[in-house]
This record gives sequence, C-alpha cells and structure tokens, in this order.
Amino acid sequence: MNKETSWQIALNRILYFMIVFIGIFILLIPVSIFHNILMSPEIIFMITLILIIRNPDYVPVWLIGIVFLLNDFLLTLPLGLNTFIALLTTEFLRRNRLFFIEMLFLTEWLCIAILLLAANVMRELLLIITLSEHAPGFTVITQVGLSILIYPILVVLVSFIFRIGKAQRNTLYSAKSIR
Amino acid sequence: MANIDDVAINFTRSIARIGLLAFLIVSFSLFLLWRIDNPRAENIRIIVINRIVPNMEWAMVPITRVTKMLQNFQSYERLYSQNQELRNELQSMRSWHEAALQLEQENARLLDLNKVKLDTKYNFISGKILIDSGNNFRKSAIINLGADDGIVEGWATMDGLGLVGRITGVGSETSRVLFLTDTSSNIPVLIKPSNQRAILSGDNSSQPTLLFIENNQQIQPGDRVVTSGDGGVFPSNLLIGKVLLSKNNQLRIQMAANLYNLSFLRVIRHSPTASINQPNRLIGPILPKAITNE
Repeated sequence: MNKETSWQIALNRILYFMIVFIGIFILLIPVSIFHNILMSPEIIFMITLILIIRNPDYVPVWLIGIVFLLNDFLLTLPLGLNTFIALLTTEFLRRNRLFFIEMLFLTEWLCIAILLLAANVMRELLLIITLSEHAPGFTVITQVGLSILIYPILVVLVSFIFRIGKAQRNTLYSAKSIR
Repeated sequence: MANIDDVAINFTRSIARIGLLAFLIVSFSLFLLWRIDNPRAENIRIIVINRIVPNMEWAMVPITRVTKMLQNFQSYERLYSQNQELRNELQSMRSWHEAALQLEQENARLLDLNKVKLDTKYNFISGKILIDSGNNFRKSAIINLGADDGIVEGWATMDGLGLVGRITGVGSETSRVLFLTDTSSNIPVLIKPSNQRAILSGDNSSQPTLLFIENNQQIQPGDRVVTSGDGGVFPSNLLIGKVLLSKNNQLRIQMAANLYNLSFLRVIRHSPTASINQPNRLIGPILPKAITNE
C-alpha cells in the first residue's frame, strides 16, 4: 500500500497549518465582506474533522492544540474554550474513526452533524455555567446549520487538496498508523 | 476493529495521550483564567497578538492591494455621480474665479486712481540714456535732457517701475544720473509695512544696502521699500524695491528698476520744500536758465 513517508506527512501538516492560517487571516482582514460570508461556518473545525476521518496523521493532537489556541487568541474568542472542545471532539472522532470510515457518506454527514451540534451545545453550556457572555442563540444555530450544509463541499475540497479519500485507505494499515 | 485499536497502544500512543491531557488541561485552565481574571487574560492575548500580527504584515500587502482594487471598482461605479459633483464644484469655482477677476480689476482701478493723484503732483519728463557710464567706480548714466528741458539737479529719475537715481550735474542739453547703486548715493527710505526709516546706501554692487535701521526685528525680506521724502530731496512714496537678506545677514535691496536694461528714464519734476533758514530768500525752486533768460 502507499505507506506515506514521514516527510510527506510533515508536508501535509504544514499544508493544513497554512490553510488554517489563511482562514484565520481572512477573518482578521478589516474588510467586512469576508466576515459576512466566512464568519458563520466553522471552516477550520470542519476541515480538522474531515482530515481526522481520512488521515489522522495529518492532524496530530499538538497541531490541533496550537491551531485552535491561535484561533482563540487571534480572533478574540474566549481563551482556550474552543481548543478544549475541539480537542475533545477530535479525540472522540479519532478513537471512533474506524466506524466513520465504514459509513456511507450520508450517514457520516449525519453523524458529523450530531457531533457538531453536541460540540456547540457543550460550548454554550460551558459559557452559561461560567456566566460568560455568549453569542445569541440565533447566530449559533445559523453557524451550525451552515457548517453542516457546507460539509460535503469541504469534503470534496479537502480530498482534492490533500489527495486523500476513505476508499483508498487500507483499514488495517490506517488502524496501525494511529498514534 | 476495536481489538486492533487496543493492540496499537504503544509508547508513542501514550505520549500522545499525555500530550492530549496536557493540552486539555492548559486550554481549560486558560478558559477559567479568561473567565476569572479577564483583564490579565486579555493582556496575555494582546502580548500573543503583538508577537504574531506584525509578522503578518508582508501577507497583508496583496490583500490591501485587492481591497484597494475593489474600492476602485466601487468608485468606478460612482463615476457618474462623482462627475456630477465635480461639475457642480467647477461651477462654483467659476463663480469664484469671476469674483477674483473682478476684484483684481477693481484693485487695479483703485491703484490707478492712486497713481493719478501722484501724477498730478509730480509730472515727469522722459529722456533717453545716451551713455551708460556704469563701471566699478561710478554708477551713473548720461541722459539727453538738460537745463534747457528744465532739469534741475537733485530730481529723482525712474524707469517704468522704480527709482533709478537722481540728477547730479546738469548740462544745457544733457545731465548725469547718479544711480542708487553708486557709493556716493545715500538716500532716506521708508520700509513699508513696518514704517521703519533707513538710509539706502549704494556700494557699487547691484543691490544697495540699508543702513541705520531703527529696529531690525520688524523688517523681513520681501518688504517694500519706498522713498521717505525726508530731507526734501526726493518726493515721498516712490517705489525703490524690496528688502533682501544677503548671505552675511546684511539687509539689502532688490531694486524694482532694471538697471541692466535701461534705455529710457523719466525725470520726476519735483519742487523740494526748501528749509527756511534764510527768511529773506524767496522760497521756491531754482529756476532753469532757459526760463530766467527769457
């Protein structure tokens, strides 16, 4: 099988980091057009989830931690909260990815939607418990909805950019390569 | 499947697990810090942003360029309304232009009226320069007007604009004009906005010096200099030139008259008010010979 060399993995990690960085960067640009279009869906989170199912080697725990900490710091979000939730979600997905690999795409989509919803509910709950300010429910719901809607598009894009797909992977090898 | 997953637990896996745990703890404690001590957490955030964002300036360049292009396109869209605005502005500018022209004309008229008043007092005779005997030693010229034309020694001579000098030496048909730039020329002047009095003294250079100024501070380069009329040699208010500050901080005068291209001179008829030191003498100008002979 096409067992990837370590530098290929490193290259893909850098690619992932670049994409995330560009995403954060676009959100940071003082131009309001981009905010309205891209602020809503959690594109970075979605990309991470897709990559974890396809090839978890590209998104190790430390990379996810750094990326989401950066995200929290730069976008003036509650510090560490998104990181915490993203780490929990991705770890859950990482452990159960073999089920996801075997799923049909529609089922996978549904499961991801549930996962996304759960992550958002958890975040809102944490914010409510700690009596923090939180975004109005309407915007959160639209955000989750939009994220779920663009999931197939993102899957196609990510598969194209990283040249990975579920079908190409040998489950045995990928299971061994979990670190 | 789950069995394989369990088997795969090895050294690196446990390290990854410890890393995950550490990240979870760090992020959650960060969140708690953010919630409990918000100002301090925001300070940390600002420090991090200060470290990262300035390094992203290079990446900003294309983005700002694209943004500018977008804005330019938007301005193209507004081209018509902008054009309309500019037309309106142009219209109002035209009216201002008209007003300025009218003011200029009025100003010129008033100045002209002033001159009329001056000319009624001082009429003049125009003469042609025969010899310009200007050299390093003497700055003077001979004109084709003399005692026969009623020229009297001491009268002021001007070219079209400013004072050139005075008559020194009158022949029957010619007379000599001593320029202001000559070393022996010392005339009282008035420096206009500040009304400072001074003596304009020639030193054979093209720019005579200003001496004996009461208060140097009130004089600035560019001030207008006119004759003061003190001493009764010259009529007052004849333009001489403007003040210059030379390199060695000396006040000099840039003469209004063009001394290098003189061909005609006008001699101002002027009857100096003679001082009354001999009460038995007739007060008045010394009459030219031609008149006395008749």
